[in-house]
Amino acid sequence: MAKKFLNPEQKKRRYLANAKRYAVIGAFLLPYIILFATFFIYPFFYGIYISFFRWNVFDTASSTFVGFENYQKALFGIGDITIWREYFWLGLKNTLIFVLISVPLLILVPLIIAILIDIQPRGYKAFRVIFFLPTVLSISAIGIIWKWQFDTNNGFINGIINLFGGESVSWLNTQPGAWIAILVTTVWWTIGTNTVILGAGLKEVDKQLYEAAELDGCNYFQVLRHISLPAISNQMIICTITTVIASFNIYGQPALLTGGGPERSTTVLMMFIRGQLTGTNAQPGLAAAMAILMGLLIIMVSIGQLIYNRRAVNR
Amino acid sequence: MKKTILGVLFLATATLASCGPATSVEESLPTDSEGNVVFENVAITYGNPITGSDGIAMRELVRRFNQEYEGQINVTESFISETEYYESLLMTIPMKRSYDIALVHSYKVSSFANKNLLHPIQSIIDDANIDLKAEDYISSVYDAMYYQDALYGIPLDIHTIILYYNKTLLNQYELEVPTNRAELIAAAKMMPNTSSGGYGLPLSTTWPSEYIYTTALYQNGGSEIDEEGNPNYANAVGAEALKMVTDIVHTHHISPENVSVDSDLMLFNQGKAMFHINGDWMINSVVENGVDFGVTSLSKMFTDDADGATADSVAARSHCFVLPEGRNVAIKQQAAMVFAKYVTEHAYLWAEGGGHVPASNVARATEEYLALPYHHDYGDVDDFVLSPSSPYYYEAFSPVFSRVTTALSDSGYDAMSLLTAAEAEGNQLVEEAKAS
Repeated sequence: MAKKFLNPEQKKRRYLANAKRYAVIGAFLLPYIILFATFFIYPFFYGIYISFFRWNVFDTASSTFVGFENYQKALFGIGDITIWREYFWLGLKNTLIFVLISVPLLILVPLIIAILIDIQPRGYKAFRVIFFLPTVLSISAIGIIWKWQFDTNNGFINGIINLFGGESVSWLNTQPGAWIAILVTTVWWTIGTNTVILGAGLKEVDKQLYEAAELDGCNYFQVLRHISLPAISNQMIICTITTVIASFNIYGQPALLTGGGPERSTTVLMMFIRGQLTGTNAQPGLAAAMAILMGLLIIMVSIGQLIYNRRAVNR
Repeated sequence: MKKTILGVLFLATATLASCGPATSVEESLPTDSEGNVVFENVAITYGNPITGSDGIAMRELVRRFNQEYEGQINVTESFISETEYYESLLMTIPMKRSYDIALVHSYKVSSFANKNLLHPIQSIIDDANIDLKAEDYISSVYDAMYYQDALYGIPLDIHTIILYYNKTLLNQYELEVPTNRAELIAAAKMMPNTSSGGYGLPLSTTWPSEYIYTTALYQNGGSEIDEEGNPNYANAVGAEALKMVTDIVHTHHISPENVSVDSDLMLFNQGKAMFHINGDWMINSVVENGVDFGVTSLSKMFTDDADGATADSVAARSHCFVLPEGRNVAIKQQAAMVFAKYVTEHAYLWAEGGGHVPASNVARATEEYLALPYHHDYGDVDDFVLSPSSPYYYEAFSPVFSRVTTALSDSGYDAMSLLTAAEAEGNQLVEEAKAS
């Protein structure tokens, strides 16, 4: 096609028209860009920046550059100062314990509920709302509710156990009671979101596939295994990754239910990080280094999961 | 167009300038014939972490002050929950955008002053000729307001832990109010100490165990930190103090095991506990629950040596008024001191609403305070001991808290092992804090 030549006047008009168009687009995008840069980009890089400093909150100008010292402190300790290393590895161990025990349940339980709702029994819409309701509550409310349910002397759960002649269990002060309490609370609080995502996936499955499978003589569980679950594999990947990330970031449940006890066995890494951010002798640089190390771990786990899930889907 | 842009820039500059930090002003202040500063419509901001039921008393104190000083000083109060409050102070004071006057806990004074977050107040009191002097306050509390020989706070109150007792249960077993540990344990053992029959002295493993352990430490002649501010509890006295606390659960069995925080209070409020240890700040909560109760001092309750020199000591803390650094406008600082004096001297309202003991001798001598039913049984104010002054107090002492919880939960605990681990952790935290 022959190239169309424009005279200077036409070029100028076209230039102005384009400029106007981009100005309008820019005007719409600008608030988002400003907010994104202010509340995401800037804090993200600022966090990385201060992790290389012995940061002085009260006089930032007197903060001293320490290179990778904060990372070294968290991972290995420096000289006689081993306390940060102990905090970091203990916190990470406790966080991993929670991730390992919570993620399977936080996928499995919502999946079962989503499957049951997908059958559409009578009143299924009400059940869907009921299962989602706890999700809208704040962690403070959840903490208060479940702290009293698990209370040793006045709690509802021990009340039930006592009713059947059992001995009271010290849920919040001993192990494994403390982890069980945190796990039950987390499952009750968070299953709503995954239930909705997986339920939406199940709803999209072509019903003709079910009918065809039925005609081929498949029973219900075979249909589930060979049709339903493969059909919602994308939703499963999303749920698994987001649940793993959320579980790594656990803070509120142990902070409110057990205070990190007994004997710091439920003090997760976020609690140690938070501890370094408060008080007159706070060490934000060290806290930032610990948070970045945890972030790197979450990224690695998530990528690993993504690769594994993709391969599993393609097989 | 140019004029418009210039106008906008001028307005923006003026606005930013007016929002800027207050600078130190060496102005000559208006005074009357006696040298007292004359205040005319001076507005000050006041921040505190008082959000509970005691907040009603604080609001009332501010309202009365504003009414009495109408046209002279006007106080605008802000209050948020404790954790957020202290975090906001640490953020806003360096930016010189904090309150003109703030209420903080006494144990924060030295750490805040050490970081230059507080303004010394003695010269302000002197310059304004305000009749505010140490003799008018409980001396030990007033002394705790000093850091490196400079006065940083005016104490509002002293608050401590006390022994609550159920009068009905004491009468039922024909018992007198205990005055020492032996009597306390003997009385508590009269209860069946079963979930159905009730307990003698249920003790939470978490709170206020740090107060209780500190009290035990004092009563057995110990201290949380040494003169250099380092931990000082991994020793025979520290272990004895721990034993005095945990024996209530493991040896005397007058408390059930693994009591959660507030469960002990609930048992007392339900009439299922003969005794209960909690802060004086819980007094109104217990009154509301309708239990027929009394209170007494915890002196001699955590030592077997009732004649020991420090057997009467009980751990205490104080709320105090401080001037955040950076708000250095002389007239406002002086107005703030007038406000502090007023509130501390009218603290009978605070005592009634918050359950605390006014630090001001004037407030404690008022008819209103003398008419309060429980406060006079808390014990002798001279027995209340505030933590030693050190900017690294929290770092040095806080590692022991979780160990006390462990010892209360585990009957087979090794005291020296727990305390040595806590002290080692405390030493490192202090070393790190000194370097920060």
